Amino acid sequence: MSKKNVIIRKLAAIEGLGACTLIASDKTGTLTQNKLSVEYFISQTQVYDTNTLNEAHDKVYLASILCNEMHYETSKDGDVNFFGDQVDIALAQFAVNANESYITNAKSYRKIDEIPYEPVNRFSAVMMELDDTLFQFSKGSPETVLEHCTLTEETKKEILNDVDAWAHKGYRTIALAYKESVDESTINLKNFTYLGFVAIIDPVREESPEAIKKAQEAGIKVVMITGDHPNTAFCIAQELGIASSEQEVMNDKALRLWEDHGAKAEEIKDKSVFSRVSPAQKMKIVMAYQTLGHYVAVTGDGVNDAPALRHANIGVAMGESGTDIAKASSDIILTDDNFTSIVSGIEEGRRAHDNIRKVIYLLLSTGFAELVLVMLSFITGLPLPLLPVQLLWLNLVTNGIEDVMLGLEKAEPGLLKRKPRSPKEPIFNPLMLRRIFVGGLYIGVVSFVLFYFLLQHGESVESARNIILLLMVLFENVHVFNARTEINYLHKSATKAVCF
Amino acid sequence: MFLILWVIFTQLLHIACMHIPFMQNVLSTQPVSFDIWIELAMIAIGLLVVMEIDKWITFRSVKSSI
Repeated sequence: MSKKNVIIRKLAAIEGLGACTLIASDKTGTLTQNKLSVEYFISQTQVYDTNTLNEAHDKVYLASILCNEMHYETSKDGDVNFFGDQVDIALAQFAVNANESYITNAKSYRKIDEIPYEPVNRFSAVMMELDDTLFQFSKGSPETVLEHCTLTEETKKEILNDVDAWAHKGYRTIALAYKESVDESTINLKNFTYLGFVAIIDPVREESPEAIKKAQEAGIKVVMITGDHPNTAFCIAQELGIASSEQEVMNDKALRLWEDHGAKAEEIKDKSVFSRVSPAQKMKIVMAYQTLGHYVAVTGDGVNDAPALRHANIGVAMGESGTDIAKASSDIILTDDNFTSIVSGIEEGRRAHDNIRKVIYLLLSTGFAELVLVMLSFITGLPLPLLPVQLLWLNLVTNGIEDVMLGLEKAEPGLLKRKPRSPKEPIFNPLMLRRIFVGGLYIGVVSFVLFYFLLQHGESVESARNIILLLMVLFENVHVFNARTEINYLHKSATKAVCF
Repeated sequence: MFLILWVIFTQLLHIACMHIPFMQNVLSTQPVSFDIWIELAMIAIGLLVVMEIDKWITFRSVKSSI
């Protein structure tokens, strides 16, 4: 399991994963890469993507790289690694992608003054000397940066509308501005020239849509729970294939209403995206789905997620970004924080459950057969068809080897195309009982009939037992292949086996 | 395939027991003639057929119930 990036903390969770019918997943870091990157630059007049932007926008790049609090390291093979705030890194990468000289030149400029970023201020500014000219750059939320700029109120409004529209498309927006200062020696937050704003996105993991499709094919409902803006959440959910219409999105208002109405499970049955969710609500959502009969796997990383992880049937903690509390209250840990690993975990869980069934099936049906054989002999007054030591040999040695092999079986084809089994279903479902009965009865009756005939034809009891023992060994060896699959026809899976 | 090799191994183990004197004593076994071998093998393979037929019956009824 650990090779598939899943660490099992509680052993029962392996089998539990196989029965999972609903996954409630976080967005950031699990479904997305948690690597912000600049996608577009929007000036007052035009939208550029990162390719159409060119040298003429020197100031944009300078503002991105200079008004920036990241650190970087150049590794031996020349790659530049950035450290610091994700937004800063995204902006620095944006400049470096355009021209690598920005990062080397940035060192040679003299910093004269700076206002570091504070979440309360929502902006940062810096004053630099570039080739004997003094420049001031400012970067931050569009609302704040616009206040420093020389623009009429009307244009500011237009820009802010634009910013809103981009936010609704799922982007984070950061505005940039600059000015040449001739006679100022410290930063003066007035009369900046507005450059535009960048649209930053947290791209979804490449493998996520595929994994979600796999999960849905396996009959598992995937639900996204996030603290993000509803529009951003819906946008990402659409890309991932979780939601198809806005009807499936619950925003903060709807969630509060739902809570006030007593958090009824029926009301969220058809929802698949929950945005602006608080940790307490997350737990309520999980519990609501459980009352609907779902077997729920929940992902979480923060301290706040611990209650939801505990209440889930399977709590999945993030190994890389997760807090210790989240890990301690989870059942399994994903070492790579990746949603895809949950799906491979489910596959593994189903395999484990299948193999348990296979072993039980082989054991019980051969046991039942021996019972039938011995009982029939008793009733008809024949001698014992198998000696105790022969029975031991059958059950311990030959059957034992086969059971171990069945336990190590690979996953059956189509394992993830099956609907999840009902969480309430016992290991002995009617199908299995029927198969045990049919198989056991055939073996038992046929070997009894043979035993009877052998004795009738004057064989000694010794040699008749010998033949029956051999027959039982043969039966067991053949029965292994019956045990391998409950639903697929053997001649179909056999053609695949021959190819190996 | 792995499983097939193990099944063959189990079978060989039992055949060995039918021929090694020590094990013959323990398990009261003895070698059998080729004819009986064939007959027993046919009966055993019959189990595969029975289980496949049972599978077919089960699935037919599942399909018709849908």
